[in-house]
Amino acid sequence: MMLSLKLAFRNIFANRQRSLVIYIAITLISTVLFLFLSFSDGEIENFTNGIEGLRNPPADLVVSHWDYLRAREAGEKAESLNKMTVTRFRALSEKIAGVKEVEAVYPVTIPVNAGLYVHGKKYKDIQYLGVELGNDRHVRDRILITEGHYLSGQPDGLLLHASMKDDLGVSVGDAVIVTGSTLFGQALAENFRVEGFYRSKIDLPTVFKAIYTPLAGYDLISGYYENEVPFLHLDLVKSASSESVLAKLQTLLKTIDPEVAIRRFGDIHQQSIAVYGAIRQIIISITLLIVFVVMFGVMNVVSTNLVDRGREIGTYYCLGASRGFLKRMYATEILLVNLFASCTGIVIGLLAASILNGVGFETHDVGLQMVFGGDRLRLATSVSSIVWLTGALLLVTATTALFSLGGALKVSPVAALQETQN
Amino acid sequence: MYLHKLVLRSLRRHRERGRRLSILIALCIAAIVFLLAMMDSFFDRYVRLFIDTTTAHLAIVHPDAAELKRKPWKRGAEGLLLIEADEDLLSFLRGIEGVVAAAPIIRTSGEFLVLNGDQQGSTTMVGIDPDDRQRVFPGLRISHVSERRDPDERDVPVLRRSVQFWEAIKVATDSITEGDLRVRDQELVRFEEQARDAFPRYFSRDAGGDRSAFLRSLDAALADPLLYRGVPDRYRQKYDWRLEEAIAAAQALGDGEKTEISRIRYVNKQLLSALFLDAISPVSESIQLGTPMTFQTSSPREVKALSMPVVIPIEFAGFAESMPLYGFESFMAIQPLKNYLQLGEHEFTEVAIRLADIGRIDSIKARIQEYLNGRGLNDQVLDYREMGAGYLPTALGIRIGLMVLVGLFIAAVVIFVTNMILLAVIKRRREIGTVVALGMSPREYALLFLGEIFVIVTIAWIGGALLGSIVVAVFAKFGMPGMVFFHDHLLYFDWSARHVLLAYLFVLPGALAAALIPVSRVLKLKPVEVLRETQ
Repeated sequence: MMLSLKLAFRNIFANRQRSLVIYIAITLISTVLFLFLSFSDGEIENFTNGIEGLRNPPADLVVSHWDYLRAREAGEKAESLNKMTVTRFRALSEKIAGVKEVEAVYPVTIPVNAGLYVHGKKYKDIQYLGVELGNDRHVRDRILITEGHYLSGQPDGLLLHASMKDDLGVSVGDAVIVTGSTLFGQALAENFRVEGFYRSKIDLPTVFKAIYTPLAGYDLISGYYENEVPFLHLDLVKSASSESVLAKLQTLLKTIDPEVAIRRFGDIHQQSIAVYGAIRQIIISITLLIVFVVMFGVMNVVSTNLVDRGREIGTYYCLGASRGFLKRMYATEILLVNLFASCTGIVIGLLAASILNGVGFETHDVGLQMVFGGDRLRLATSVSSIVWLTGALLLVTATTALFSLGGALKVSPVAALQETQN
Repeated sequence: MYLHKLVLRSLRRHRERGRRLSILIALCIAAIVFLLAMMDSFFDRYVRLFIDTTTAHLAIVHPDAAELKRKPWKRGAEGLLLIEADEDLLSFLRGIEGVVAAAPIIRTSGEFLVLNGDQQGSTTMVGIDPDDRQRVFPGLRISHVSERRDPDERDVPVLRRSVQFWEAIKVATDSITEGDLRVRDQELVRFEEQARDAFPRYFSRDAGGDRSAFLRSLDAALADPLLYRGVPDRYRQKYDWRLEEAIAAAQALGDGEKTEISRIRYVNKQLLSALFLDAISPVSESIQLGTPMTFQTSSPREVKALSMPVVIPIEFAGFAESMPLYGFESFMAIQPLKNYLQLGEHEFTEVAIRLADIGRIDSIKARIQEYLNGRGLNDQVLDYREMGAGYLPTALGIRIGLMVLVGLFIAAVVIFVTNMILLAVIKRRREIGTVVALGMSPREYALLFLGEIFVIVTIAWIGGALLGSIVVAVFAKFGMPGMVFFHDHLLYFDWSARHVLLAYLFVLPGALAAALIPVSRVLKLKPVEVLRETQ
């Protein structure tokens, strides 16, 4: 094995030019495919960390009503799901925060769809979310204040998305009425005041224009009691294993408050990435098509190269090399070139991605924002993309070895020797 | 003059290598034809889809609505932005050459509510004359249309927007499992006792605390068409509309003609969940045709902080699928919608116009705008590009992605051709030396190489175009699956000779340019050296 590896290495450099062609082809293709996949990763990441992250801030664990998950799976309506909350959440948060593996515990609300009455006009379907001031890093870290200031703590304070300034013609300090109905169907008409405007750090105003208010204000809009929230999100310290902390907290919560349950984030919140998921599937299918064509290309180049290396193969036979040994040696050679090329492709892709991310291509064009999943182009890297790409190129190698080497190694030693003598 | 003979002779001599290169280029050309067809089919069909189902070619709208249509992400205030469309305007529009149909429309948004007050999804309600609907929006997929049983029925028939994936009921409606139980621990034990006590004939006395036996018994009770007769009177002493409705539904089914067992089980599950409301999850009202419902929308004019909604009694008469993923349009006849909204005879939110030829859109648009201005109306005419601003980015994004891939395949051809010629130059050094000794200049030999590439690419193009066209034809016939942006998630391809020709025009110059790099080596060869090497 070592000998074939050594010879494969030597052959790569002995046939530099030929190896270079395959190397360049695979590098180019893996770079392009990597960039495609990282574009798809980036738009999903933009969406989940940006807009979806504001709606459902990603966390490690989530505390909810004990029956919430079952009721949702059973198809119960929002009306009954809204009643399933975590009551006395502050006391509960304190106890959970006492566990040393827990880094942060914060309440997360569900959006209330209601209207906004301002300057004699009413705007429907605006989403209201509540934040607990002082325990709102999940919101503060994701937004920028564009005008006015962040919520002061007054229960009637509102923080509006910056796009609403023009859309609704509203300014800082304006008195507005939040109108419609609470989560429980009661009529709602409460006076509020605009304290500031924000935009999400990764913005997508086409999809999301939420208004934030302190929890006291949110209670008025949603109809919840004080000290009652739908969810508590938990961030764990980096070194903690979520499984063991989950088990530990399950035992703890059973004794403190049997009315709640703690689960993994993904069990409770399903992020809505349908469109971006579909685009990713299209990209994956197209990479398959490319890999298929590339496979033929590489097979062709390899077999042509080996035909031209007939003398070399004949010499190996004369020196006593078996066909199996030669197959192993040439397969290793192709594998090394392809692997090295795909690694180079990935590295170039990573560099290109970091340069593009560094340049920070921002856009105000709504069409592009939809395509990017946010207001900036982001190329992200996921392990699954790298595994997919490397796996595809290994498949190319294996297929090439399987179908190209057999025929090319059918060289008569005598003919090869004769040719060498000439 | 003799060069073409030499090209053909050379190709014959090196046919093995030429064949391989041809196959490879043919595959790349097939891929390019496929990608170009996919790119154009996606874009054209997607644009056609939103024209045919949602926007039409042109629309006359209120000036403030024009801003919202061009920027669909902007929020509009409650209340309808109405235009006046009288008979003169409609006659003028219908008289324009190239206008297939012009239909006044009322477009408003609202919610569907089932009779118990639960929401069953939001929608954009399009009020349009049923005769105009298919002429203006021929791409709408109307399905499951049911006949009205009672022509005097007051409920307005509505073609409901298609059911979205999140609206499908994921749980079985005809069985009871552990996932349906809302209780645990002591409450569960209490519920078991209540159920056994209420329906003793379905539960064996000695089952004890066996949970699965209890669930099996509960599930078995669902199959009994006469289950409602066993409901103890004490449960009906206090009036509960849910229970009374469930009993009435079970009675109608149990005493009526023989019906499907799954329907009986569904109704009985509703009955049990109404009876044990705290213990069994209520069965969601499924989306059904013919069921009385309401459509609730806001008042078209009265805008107050709190105002009464307009409630229209409706029933679903069928389904209408417009844009998959983004399509939220339901349809009803325009007159009843106008009556409920109390709109004047000539008041509409827009007039949708369908053209025979999309190429004439700019001239017709200008003519209509001129007419409106001439009458002193400040309404605006928008075309599908302005109204489809929310849809176009998807089509453009996919188009750009596929264009990059076409470029990748051209690059692949360039690399493979370079490799083949490079090898050929090395392999043919003796041959080159010989022909140079016989008087052929290196420039002529380089031309020979380029001639070979020209022939190989042309032959490969024929094969590749054929292969690509076959693949395109297959997708044209059966559709490409997984395309969630289209009806049935299928994208049907359109074959075009332009794609085949473009593939040739892309690949041939690329291949010739690629051949120039190794061929330039031939030009640098010194005949004396080559001859010496050959000896």
